[in-house]
Amino acid sequence: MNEKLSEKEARFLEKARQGFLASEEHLDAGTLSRLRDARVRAVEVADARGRGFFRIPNWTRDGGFATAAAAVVVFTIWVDTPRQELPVKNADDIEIVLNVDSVDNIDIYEDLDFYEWLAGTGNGSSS
Amino acid sequence: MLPCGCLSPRGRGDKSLDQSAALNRFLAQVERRAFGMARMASGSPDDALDIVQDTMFNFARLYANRPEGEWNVLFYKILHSRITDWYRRTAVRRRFHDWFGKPRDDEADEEDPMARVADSTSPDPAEGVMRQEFTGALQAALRKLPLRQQQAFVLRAWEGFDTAQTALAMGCSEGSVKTHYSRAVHALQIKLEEFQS
Repeated sequence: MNEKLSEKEARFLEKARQGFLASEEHLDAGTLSRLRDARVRAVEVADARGRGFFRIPNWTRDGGFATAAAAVVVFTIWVDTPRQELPVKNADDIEIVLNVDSVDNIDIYEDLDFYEWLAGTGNGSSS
Repeated sequence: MLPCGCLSPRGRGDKSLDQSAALNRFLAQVERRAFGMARMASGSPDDALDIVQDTMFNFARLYANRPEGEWNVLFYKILHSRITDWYRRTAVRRRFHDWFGKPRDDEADEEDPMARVADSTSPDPAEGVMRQEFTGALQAALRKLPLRQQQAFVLRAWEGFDTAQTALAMGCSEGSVKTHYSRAVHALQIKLEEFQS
């Protein structure tokens, strides 16, 4: 029964298809002309889009978005990184740390020969 | 040959020309069928032309750069979307006219003018007349079906889409397509019983 029905259905569909295809052939000249005009204009629209001087190719646009997103992430990470407070912030601070102006430091350097001699004679040691 | 593999201006021009020619060929191939589907759904040649024109423009604007293999389904997707829009607009207009008792514009357009055109594709005149009568009756019966059933039937029987392609074009699930199509075939077979000999 089902096979019979599907065969009948197939015949009906084939008949419908033939009818549809035949109806495509019977369009009047005015309709065909308007269809042709619409087609030509549509092709021009596609051409204009394809030739546009400022048209950005899709891959460039996608790449641009990806780069911008990556830049935002990197910038965010960079800004959010906790900064370590460095003890030295400028040239004056370096001088303070090195303490080059300190009188004691200069004395140490001036007495360096004495300390060297003292170490050589063994008087400076506790033993 | 450019080291980066980019197209030279000449190459780009050739590619553009090829694409235009391919698009022109494709639209020429589908325009009559699209018009037939739109006219069947709308019952008005003028509205059908507007629908097809709008479909071609949108297709060229949105999908001309897509691979040619996808064009057919995408084109009919736009076409059926436009037909659905037309249906919605017309339904609102009809409701408005019904409320205010105005006569509808399309009341005189019930008969399809194409049904009166002689069928020249058949060598046998009697067969041609039979086919012509069947086609006229089929189109009239189709027009009385719900839009989704109409769309499922024409896409499958006329365009030859399978269930998946029809679902993509109609923007619904394959299960819905099967239901709409089955109901359409059943209803049409009953209405066109006299032609099934």
